[in-house]
Amino acid sequence: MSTSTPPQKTLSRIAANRLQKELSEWQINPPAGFKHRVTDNLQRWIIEVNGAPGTLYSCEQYQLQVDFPENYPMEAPQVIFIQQPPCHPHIYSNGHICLDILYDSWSPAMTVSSICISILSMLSSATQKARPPDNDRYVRNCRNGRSPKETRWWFHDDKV
Amino acid sequence: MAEEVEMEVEAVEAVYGPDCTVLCAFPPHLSILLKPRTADVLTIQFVEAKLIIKASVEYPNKPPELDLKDAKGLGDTRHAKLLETVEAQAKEMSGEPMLVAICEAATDLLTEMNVPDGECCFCMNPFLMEDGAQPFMKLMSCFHCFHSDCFGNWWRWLQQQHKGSSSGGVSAPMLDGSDNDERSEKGTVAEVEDFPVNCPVCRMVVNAEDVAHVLEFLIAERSVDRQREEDAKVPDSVLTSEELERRARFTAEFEAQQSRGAIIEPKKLEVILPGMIVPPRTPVEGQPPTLAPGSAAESPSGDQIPPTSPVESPGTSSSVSGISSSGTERGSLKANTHEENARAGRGVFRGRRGGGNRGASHTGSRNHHGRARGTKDYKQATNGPPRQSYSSSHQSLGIRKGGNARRGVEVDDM
Repeated sequence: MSTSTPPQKTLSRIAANRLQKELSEWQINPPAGFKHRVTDNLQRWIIEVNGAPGTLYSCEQYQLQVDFPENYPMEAPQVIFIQQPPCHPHIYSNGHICLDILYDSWSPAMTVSSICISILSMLSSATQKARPPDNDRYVRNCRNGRSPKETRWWFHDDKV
Repeated sequence: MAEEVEMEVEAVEAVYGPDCTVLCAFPPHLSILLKPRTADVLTIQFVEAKLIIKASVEYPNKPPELDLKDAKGLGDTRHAKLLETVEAQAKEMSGEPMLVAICEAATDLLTEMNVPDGECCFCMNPFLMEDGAQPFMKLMSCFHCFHSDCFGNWWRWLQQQHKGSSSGGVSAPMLDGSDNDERSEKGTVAEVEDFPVNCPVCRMVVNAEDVAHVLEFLIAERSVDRQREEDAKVPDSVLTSEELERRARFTAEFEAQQSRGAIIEPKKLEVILPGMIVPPRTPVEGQPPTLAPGSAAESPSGDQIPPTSPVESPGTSSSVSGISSSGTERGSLKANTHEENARAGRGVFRGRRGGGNRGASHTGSRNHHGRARGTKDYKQATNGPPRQSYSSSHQSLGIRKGGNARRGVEVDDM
């Protein structure tokens, strides 16, 4: 299982300020179904996800790991599931998530909170619990803790 | 009755000119692009909306159905408030001709609401802060605002990424579909022209107009930086007593000339670029931002702009050229111009775009809004050509929120 530690530079001043803001905003108004596990590491957030009621994942709990690059928010954070990733057609067994906003479609206007909502929405719209068809091949290629941000993703499912 | 109503529709058309589209003369079905009263200065216009008025044959006894479309810069709360207000107005006036009155009520409220909403999406700090706000800018196509510094940083970062990707280096995730052509390594601002950039908030392609604004902003910033560096670079050895004496003499002479009004002052306020706004020192809720003379000092470039500032390129800066007179002059001009606006009605301003050279036609004077209240033949001087409207909207912070999660196939076989 990869808990890939990307080669990280410390956060820039801009990134640190912005994350501080996001964190305080989160504390006042966290997205429903998520819980930030408090650490003293601003650069890596561990977030608990509770499957939304009435969906395939209700009453299930997962963990997201969000790592922020030096140039956040210009650059997207790296977001993966750790420990037991949910079984979902867009989530690989190594925790990598195929979601365009985390890669090509990232915009600095997005926040950890908006990412979380997107991920929960992706989980909630699943009609069956299954791994992506190319799971084994992908996971094999990702050994040595490769970051999902190095993957060239191909997004094609608009129905999520 | 129908005739009267048709005449009323004609009146609306006459007042709003190209901003009004008559979909049907009877029963009236109109679409009117409403803007705050900013005397045609687009750079200080932060909100706008299309009011759709759809009346039945029973009009005016039965108030028309009202709706807002293509609202920009309003946000949910203010959008709802605007619609509520016009609906109340329509209800109140049922039985009498009300079309112009409804539009005027909406315009009044839009004028009150003409302040950028919320915070900069990059740094998440509000635009209007109690203690000295940072300069910010507006994208002209979608009305989304950013701190100029924040946007500049992002722009430079994108450029770096772009350079990297065109020289075959790391990928540039922000520049989807960017062509890896033979772009030069220089990364000069000149090549910004064909640089594909989307608004970070709504993803609308930043259009040529905006590119020009940002371009100028960046050039000005760089030149100021350079100027500062040069100022700081003068080595002590140059400052001999002779040199100091020469400088003192020159300064004295300069001041003497200045006191006689012989010096044509550098156009300090031209650091305020098209699309870039310096907010007031003490923002009053509900009042359009003022380009207060004193606020020039708050801009990053301060008043160190040399007279030859490259900002002066006439081609693109038409919308600020009115802001070139010096501070005090502007103060008095401002009042006059508004007086004039109110009296002259629309004819004078028709067809003029972006403020032209009418000095200080920007808003900010206290006597500005409300002046037209009740004067039905008054039309705020905002008759620019109909702007292209896009589908962007005020709700855009949730870009693809919950959106395109898509199944991925790894194509990067190694």
